[in-house]
Amino acid sequence: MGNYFRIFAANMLSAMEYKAAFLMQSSFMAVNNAFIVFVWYVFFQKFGTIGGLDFGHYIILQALMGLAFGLQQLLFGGCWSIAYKIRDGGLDSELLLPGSPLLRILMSKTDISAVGDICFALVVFAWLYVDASPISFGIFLVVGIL
Amino acid sequence: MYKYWHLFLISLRQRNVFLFDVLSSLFSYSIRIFLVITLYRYLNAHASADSFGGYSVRDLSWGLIFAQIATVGMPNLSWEISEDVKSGKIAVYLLNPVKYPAFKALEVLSGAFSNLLVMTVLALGIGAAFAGLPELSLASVAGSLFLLVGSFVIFALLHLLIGLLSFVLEEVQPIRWIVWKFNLLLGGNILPITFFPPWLQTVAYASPFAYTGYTAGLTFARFNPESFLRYALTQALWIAILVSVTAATYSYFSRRLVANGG
Repeated sequence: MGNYFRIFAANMLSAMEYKAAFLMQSSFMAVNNAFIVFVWYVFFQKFGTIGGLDFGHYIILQALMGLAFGLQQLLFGGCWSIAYKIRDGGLDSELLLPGSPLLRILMSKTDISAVGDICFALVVFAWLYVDASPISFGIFLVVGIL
Repeated sequence: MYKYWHLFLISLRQRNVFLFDVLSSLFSYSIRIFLVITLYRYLNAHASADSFGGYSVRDLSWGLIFAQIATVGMPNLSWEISEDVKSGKIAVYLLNPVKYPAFKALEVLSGAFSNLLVMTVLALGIGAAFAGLPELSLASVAGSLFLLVGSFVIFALLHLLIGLLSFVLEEVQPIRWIVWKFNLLLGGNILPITFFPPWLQTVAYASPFAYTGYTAGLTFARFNPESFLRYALTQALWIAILVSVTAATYSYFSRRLVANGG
């Protein structure tokens, strides 16, 4: 497990080497998600509820998706490169190495914009549930991780 | 001009080799259209009559269908330019006796052109199935296709402009996300512009995003000569502005190019 943690740490350090790109990607991803909030704010202002679903419900769903997607992209950003590795023959060298090839490929990349997704999710939760108990926050995190 | 035509044809053939890519994007397009039209139908059944601003579900569905054609059909030119800069390929392109932005725009528009043909046919089928065909006339079909071609040109120019920023910036994808979210919001890609409050409708119709497919769809569903003329003139104005800005940006940034990304 220690090796995989070191892969993740190396990915993070590599991504943060380009500081301007790191800041731009993570902050713009959060702004990007905020646009979605605005679109649905306009929508629910006009139509109220849809089948019992209101703006708060929709946005917390959006935050949960942001948290889940952000964690997946942060830890397992290599998932999108599996097809490319197979096509380009990169999988052969992975199979020769000790340990789980799948886990190593999944952890081979960290999408730094995921930091923006995670921040967005946490800010939305804090905004909607200012007086939430630690248990509610724990449930939010667990559901996001699952 | 002859060499640019050949570049266009070669790229057109190259883009159509990967049939699965084209088909998979069409599949996601169909699902998205189905879901949003279902939402419009629900609203039509449950919301007040004036919520739709005088349009029917069918009119707005066609607005969405055409807006999505341009959004889904346009290849990611800004990413390609950014990759050219990061990989250093840009140096080779700049040495060639072709204008880099023109070359890239033609390369991408050839892909967009084939997508436009395939997707328009598919969109007509999906629209007929999900929304119902409007009363068609030669004017509505020709007018909407005219505006749709203009939509692709606006999209290509926006991509080009974002891509050219990679001459001086490390990463331009975040800028593309923001511009595309503006397109999602102001281009009628989820919610029709008529759902917006009046101030936001004014912003949307003054921006280039309302002319990237949405107005073509409205023209297709309900042709009105005055509206068509207004849409076409505003679209032409935005194309002229974007061409000027792109040319000026290229001229300025090509002298300040930082290979491998700003």
